[in-house]
Amino acid sequence: MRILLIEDDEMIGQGLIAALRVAGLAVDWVRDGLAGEAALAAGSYAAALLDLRLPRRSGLEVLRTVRGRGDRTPILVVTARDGIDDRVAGLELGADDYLVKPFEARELLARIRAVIRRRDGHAQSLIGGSLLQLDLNTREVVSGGERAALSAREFALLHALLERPGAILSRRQLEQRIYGWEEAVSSNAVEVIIHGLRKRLGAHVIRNVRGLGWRVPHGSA
Amino acid sequence: MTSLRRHLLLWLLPLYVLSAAAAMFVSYQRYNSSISAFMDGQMHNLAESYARELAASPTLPTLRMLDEDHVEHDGTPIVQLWRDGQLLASSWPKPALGLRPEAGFHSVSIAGHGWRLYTAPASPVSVQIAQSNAFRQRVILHSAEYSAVPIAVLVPLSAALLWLAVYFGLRPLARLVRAVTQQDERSLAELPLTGVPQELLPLLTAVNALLSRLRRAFDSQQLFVQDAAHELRTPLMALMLQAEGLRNRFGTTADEELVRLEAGIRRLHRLVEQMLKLARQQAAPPGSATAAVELLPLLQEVVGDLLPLAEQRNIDVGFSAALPLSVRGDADALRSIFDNLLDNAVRHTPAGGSVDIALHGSAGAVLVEFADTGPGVAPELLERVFDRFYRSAGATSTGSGLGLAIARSAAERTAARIELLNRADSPGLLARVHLPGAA
Repeated sequence: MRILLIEDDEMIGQGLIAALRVAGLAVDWVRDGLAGEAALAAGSYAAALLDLRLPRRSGLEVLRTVRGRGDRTPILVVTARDGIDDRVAGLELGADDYLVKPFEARELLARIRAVIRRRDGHAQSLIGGSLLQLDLNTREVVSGGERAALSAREFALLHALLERPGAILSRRQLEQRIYGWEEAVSSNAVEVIIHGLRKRLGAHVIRNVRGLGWRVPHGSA
Repeated sequence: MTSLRRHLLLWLLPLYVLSAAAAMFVSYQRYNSSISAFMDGQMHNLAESYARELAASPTLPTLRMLDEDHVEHDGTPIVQLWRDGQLLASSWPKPALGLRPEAGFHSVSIAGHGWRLYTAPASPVSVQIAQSNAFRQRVILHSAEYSAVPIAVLVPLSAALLWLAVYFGLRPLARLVRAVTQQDERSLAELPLTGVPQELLPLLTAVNALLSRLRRAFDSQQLFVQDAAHELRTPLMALMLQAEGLRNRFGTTADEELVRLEAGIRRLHRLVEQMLKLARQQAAPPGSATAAVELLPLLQEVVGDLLPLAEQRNIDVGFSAALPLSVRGDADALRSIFDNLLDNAVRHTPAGGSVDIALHGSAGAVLVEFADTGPGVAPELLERVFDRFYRSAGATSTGSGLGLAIARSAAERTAARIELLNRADSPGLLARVHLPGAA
């Protein structure tokens, strides 16, 4: 896969190229907006990384021109500015994602893969973090590379927790996700489901936060 | 210090008293001369009538005898008739008033008693009329008193009115003082020019010009901090990428220098983001986004965001609340307060410790508490830790030194008050956020 990098900062350019090559991606690097437009017109890239502040032509103008001529190459905007207005402007002009400096190469790679997948029409069926994932199509849980089937209530509970990995959900919030409005809920129903999941997947995958509720840790912590 | 009011009153009040005294003196003088002239005229007429009587008939008229009461109290003139230096008759024998050789008015003093005399020329009998000066003085003083009373009453009355006039005249100043007191570095509004005395206008115009220059200076300083923080992100990013490159080369073997380099970069990253947050927070006008905010979901998010750090440091974070509570405030500012207080608590608690968040509510007021099991803060430093870039001795080097400054600046924006104290029950710091209830 070939990636186009449009970035004028020497050190960042070299750093990004090194990181992308380690991940097995081929990279072409141009250093100003006009060259970026030309490269996008000439080659077919799997994705482009576009810095917003560029010499000769700004990133937003490049974005407008490229989208104006119907080019659908996935473009990730990279910028040091993160005001709401900046984000909205970038996304409205057709950027596929928006990364604020500084970010880690790992984060960048994940985002690149995500936009390429989206562009290729693969619906995202896996949600969750690195510890635990949920396959929305098969309604299975993926943990340590192994898949396991879930009951309807287990699935509903994990779905709620994995929509935003790391976020805390209270008992009340989980109950609302597992049961319909009219259903009677026994006082420890949530605990029972979580106890069962922990037994199968390991105690560390769902953690209790004293007084607030439960969460699935975001990363590998 | 000079007080305009005191200055004005100090000058005007004595002036008032002085002019009142002068008015009284002048009116006394005028009564004196006019009453004297009137009484002199009476004496003259009396003498003339006796003289005419004597000229018409040679027999001496009988004079009604007077006593002291008549002379001194009623002011009845004494009549004396003289011929060839001999006193023929007198209506009051007592005073040894000799005949004045020359005709006309005289003022004499006999045995300590003043008299006014009128001597009519001999033809051949001389008529001499005498009136007590003491009586005359009494009449004059009496009359002068009548005119002095209104003045004496008016002086304190008009002094009071003067005081009021000065008070009201200086009221625009008090209004200005209030307007100036409400200013701070985030809201440098121009001072109102309506209803201001003309004399103050040049001063106010100058102050307003100064204020707008100041506002521009603050704005550009804030912009500079924001720009600087933004600009720092690019080289920071370059550093991160280089460190990641090194990490890829070394693999996961923990090279101590690389670990330290990465920690340094993380700290720099945090510092830059905190600076940006503070600058941005201070740039937004305070109280602009006040609404009812549910505290429980907000704290859920705050805790969720900080748990990775807490877990990494093996710190148990717990929460307790009596009931769900909501407050009136700016959700972003509240978030910023809680984020920074919890972050501060987690960073200052040694591994294995705990941080407890408690939510209390009473009538119209809500209290959020963050209690840690860290070393606490020396009492004399409890205020200083809010200073930007303040570092307590022995603090871990992971903080930016801006967290509490950001929390306090956020608190100022949403009518919250942050209180830091050392825990009474065990070592550790207790951070309290006092919030107005949603009522």
